Amino acid sequence: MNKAAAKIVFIFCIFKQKFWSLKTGIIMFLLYFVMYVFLAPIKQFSIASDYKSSPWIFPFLITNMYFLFTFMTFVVYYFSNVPFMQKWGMYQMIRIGRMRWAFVQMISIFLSALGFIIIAILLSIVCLIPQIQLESGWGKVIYSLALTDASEQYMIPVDFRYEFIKSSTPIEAMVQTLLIGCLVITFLGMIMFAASICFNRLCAILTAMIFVVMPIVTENMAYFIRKLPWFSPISWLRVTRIGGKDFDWGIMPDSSFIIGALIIMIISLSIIILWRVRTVDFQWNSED
Amino acid sequence: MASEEIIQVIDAQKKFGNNTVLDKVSITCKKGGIYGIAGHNGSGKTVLFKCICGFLHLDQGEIRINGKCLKKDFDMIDNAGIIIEEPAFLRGWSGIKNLEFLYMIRNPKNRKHLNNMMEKVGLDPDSKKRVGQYSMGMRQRLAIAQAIMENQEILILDEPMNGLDKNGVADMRKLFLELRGEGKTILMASHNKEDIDILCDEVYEMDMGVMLKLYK
Repeated sequence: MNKAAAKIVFIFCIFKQKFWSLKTGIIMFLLYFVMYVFLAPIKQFSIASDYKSSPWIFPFLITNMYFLFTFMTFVVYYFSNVPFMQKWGMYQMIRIGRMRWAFVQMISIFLSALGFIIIAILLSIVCLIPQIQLESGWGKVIYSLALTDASEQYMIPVDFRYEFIKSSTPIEAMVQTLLIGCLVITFLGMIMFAASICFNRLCAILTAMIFVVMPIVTENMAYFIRKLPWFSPISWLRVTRIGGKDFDWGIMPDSSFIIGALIIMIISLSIIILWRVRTVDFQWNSED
Repeated sequence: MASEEIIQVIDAQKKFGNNTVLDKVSITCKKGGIYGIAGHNGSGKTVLFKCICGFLHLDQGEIRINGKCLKKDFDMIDNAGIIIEEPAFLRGWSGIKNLEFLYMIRNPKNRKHLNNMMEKVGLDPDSKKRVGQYSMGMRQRLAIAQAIMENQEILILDEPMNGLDKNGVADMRKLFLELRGEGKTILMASHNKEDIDILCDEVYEMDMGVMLKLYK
C-alpha cells in the first residue's frame, strides 16, 4: 500500500472509530425519537387522506426552528470531546506529528458532518414507514400540506412552503440540504475545535451553543433587523426559507452566498487551528 | 558535539501558571545506554518526558534529539517509542488490532511481526479480548509492545514496570537489556530502586522539578 493510500486508510479509521461509537448510537436513537414526534402528525394525515407520503420530508423538518435547535444540540454533544486529546491519541500523534494530527481531526469532522446529515435524512424516511412511497415528485401529501389548511387541522409543526416546492425539485432540495447541512455541521465542529484549542473545552461548548440558539433569536428579532439571518450560520440550514421573497420574519441570503460563506469560514478556522496546534501544550485526557 | 549524544536537555524550564515544574533541568543520553530518572510523584519526570516528546513546549532551555533542536528544526520526536502516564488504547478493540492500527500509520501491514511483538511481551496475539477487559499488567505489556514494534532508536518509558507481576518484570528487564545491546537509547522513569540498579547505566534524581544528582 503506498503512502497516500495508507494516509487515506488512517483518516478513514480515525473517522470510523469516532463515528461508530456508543455516543453516536445514543444520538441517533434520540434523534429518531424526536423526529418521530415531529412527523407523527404527518403520518396521521397521510393515513386519513389515504395517500402515502414521498420521502422528501427532511428539508421541511430541518426548517422547523425547534427541531433545528434539538438537532444542533445533538451535534454539539457529538463534538463535545474537543479538542480530541484523549490519551489514546498520544500514540497516534507521536507517529504523525502535530500538523498532520490536526489535519486528520479536521477531515474527521467533515466526514462526521457528512455521516450525520445522511443518517438524519435516512431516519426521517424511516420515521414515515409504512406511510411512504418512493416517487420522484413531492407527492400529494406534501402538496396538500402546502396548499391547504391540513397542517393546522392535524397540528403539524412542520411548515410546507409552496414557494419552495414550486422553485425546487425534490432531488435539488435534498442535494441542497445535504450540502448545506454538511457544511453547517462542519462549521460548528471546526469552531468548537478551534475554540477548545485556543481557549478550553467549556469555551468551545459555550460558543457552539450561542450559534445553536441564534436561529431562535433571529426569528424573534428579525422583525426589527431584517438581515439578521445573514449572521446566523445555523439559520442557513432552514433551507426552505433560502432566497424566499416573502419571508415575514427576516431575509435569508441565497444559496451561493451561504455555501461560499461557509467554505470561507471553514477554511479560515482551519488556518487558525493549524497555526494554534503548532504552539499549544497537549494535555491528554482520560476517556470521557 | 559528539554524534553519539542522542538526547540532550539543556537548562529546561517549564511552568504551569505560577508552579515551576522543571527548573533548569539538564540531561544527556548517549546511544546504546539506559538512563534512569528517579523521583517521587510530582517531581517532574512525566512533564520532562512530555517535553522531550514534543507534547509540551519548554518556557526556556533547549532539547536536542540527534543534534536537531526541538521546536526549531522539528515539532515532535519521530524516532521514539513512548510510554507516558498510564497506557491508553482503543478500549473496544483487541490488543493486536490496536497495534495494527498504530503500526500501519507508517508501515505496510505485517501481521506476523506484530504477532511476534505481542508474544515478546507475553500477550496472546490471537486473543479477541478487548483492551477494555485487559488487566493493568496486560495493558502495560501492550504499551511496551507498542513502543518497541517499530524498532525505534529511542525509547522513552514512564514507569514501564507498572502493574507487572514478578515474572513480567524479569521478562521486561531482560528485554530492555537486549534492546540496549542492539544500540537503543532508553530513557526511563521508575520508583523502583531495583529496576534502576539492574538496568540503568546512569541515574538522574529529580525532586520538585530540579535535577538533584547524577549517579553512574
